[in-house]
Amino acid sequence: MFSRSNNDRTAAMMSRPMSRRTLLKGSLTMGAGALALGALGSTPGGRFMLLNVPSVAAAQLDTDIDILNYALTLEYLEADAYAAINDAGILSGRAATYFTAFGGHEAEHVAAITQTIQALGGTPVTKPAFDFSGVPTEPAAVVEFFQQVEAVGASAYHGAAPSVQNADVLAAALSIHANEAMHAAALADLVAPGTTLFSPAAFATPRTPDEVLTIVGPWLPSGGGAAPGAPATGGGGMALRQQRGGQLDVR
Amino acid sequence: MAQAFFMDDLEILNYALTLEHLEAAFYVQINAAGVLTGDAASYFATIGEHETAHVTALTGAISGAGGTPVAARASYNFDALGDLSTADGILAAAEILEATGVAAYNGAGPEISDSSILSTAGAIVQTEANHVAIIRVLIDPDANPVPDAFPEAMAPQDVLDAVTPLLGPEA
Repeated sequence: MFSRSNNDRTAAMMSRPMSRRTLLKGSLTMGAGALALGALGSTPGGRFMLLNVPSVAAAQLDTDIDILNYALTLEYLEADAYAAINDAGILSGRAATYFTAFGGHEAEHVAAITQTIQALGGTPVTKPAFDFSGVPTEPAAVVEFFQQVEAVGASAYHGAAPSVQNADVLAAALSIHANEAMHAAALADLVAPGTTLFSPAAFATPRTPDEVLTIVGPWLPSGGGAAPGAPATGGGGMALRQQRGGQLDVR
Repeated sequence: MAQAFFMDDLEILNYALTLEHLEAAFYVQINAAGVLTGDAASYFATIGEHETAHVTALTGAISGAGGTPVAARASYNFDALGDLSTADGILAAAEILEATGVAAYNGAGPEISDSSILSTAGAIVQTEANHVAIIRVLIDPDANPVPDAFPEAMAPQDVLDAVTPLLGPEA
């Protein structure tokens, strides 16, 4: 895990050790034809922001449109990750049923959030060129990994919702929050049936955008030397961080 | 948005507490009956603990804010939800209660003024959504347990109309 210093974390995210790739098994390449960058930057104060251009100038998550673009980035990530797994056809049975349905939901979230941003007069962020080369390919590891992704997604909505100003936007965020929490619980039954993984605590813990972006940082393009429209290459992206045999570091 | 239903956040908290009392009492009754076995029994034990914890927390929050927490009813009419002597009947009833809980929180959420209360509501509704999904998995593990990309919220009056028949006499 990164240090508690935001600046250190920024540096770590921008220079993900390539040696980590040696920990990874297999790959699911989705980079071909990927589009512009969704870069991460930080203010001097250390606050993370989502940028739709690789520039140091960016809006903070102060407005509903900022929050929606943050959500959109996470939904892009989930939708693309599910699509990669579903296209690979490595799951069967219940897992395949769940993944097909849940992947469709994430795509619906992308479409709805995009439309909402436009309706509010904002500009939706461009889809980042995610690097999923480190996504597990062994079915059980895939399901475990996505269970964690869904739990992180739910915690992101939980953390961001109280900052939303517009009541209609809030209502939509609450609905998506519930949907992601349902996904996490259902997948938990595939990972550890009969345990408390489906709902680990009576009161869920929210995550700030800062915390969420630290976790999902490894998915995002490194951005360091890339330019908008630059071809996405395997070497340009960061390997998905894996610890303890394919788990996200989400403590 | 629609006309506000609640006067203030305290009313919303008592609305939530009313539902949590209902849920907590349901799981106490069901878990004591011992009809469920295996994973279902494990899941219901966990869910019941959560609902009881929600009651405790909401009661404390309302008292702490200077309000008067609603009390649990002396009894509830859970038989109105179906045949609770069978596992299938219990699961169907629990699915109704939990889905109504999620829809209730999400319907009331936009009316909450205090952002810390909204965050607490979010902490609770996330677990209720967990509960809904796992109960649907128990009902039919091979079916998609999350049919909607955007689960619907329920207006407070609709929730109250739905749960009032389940409320027994006051204690």
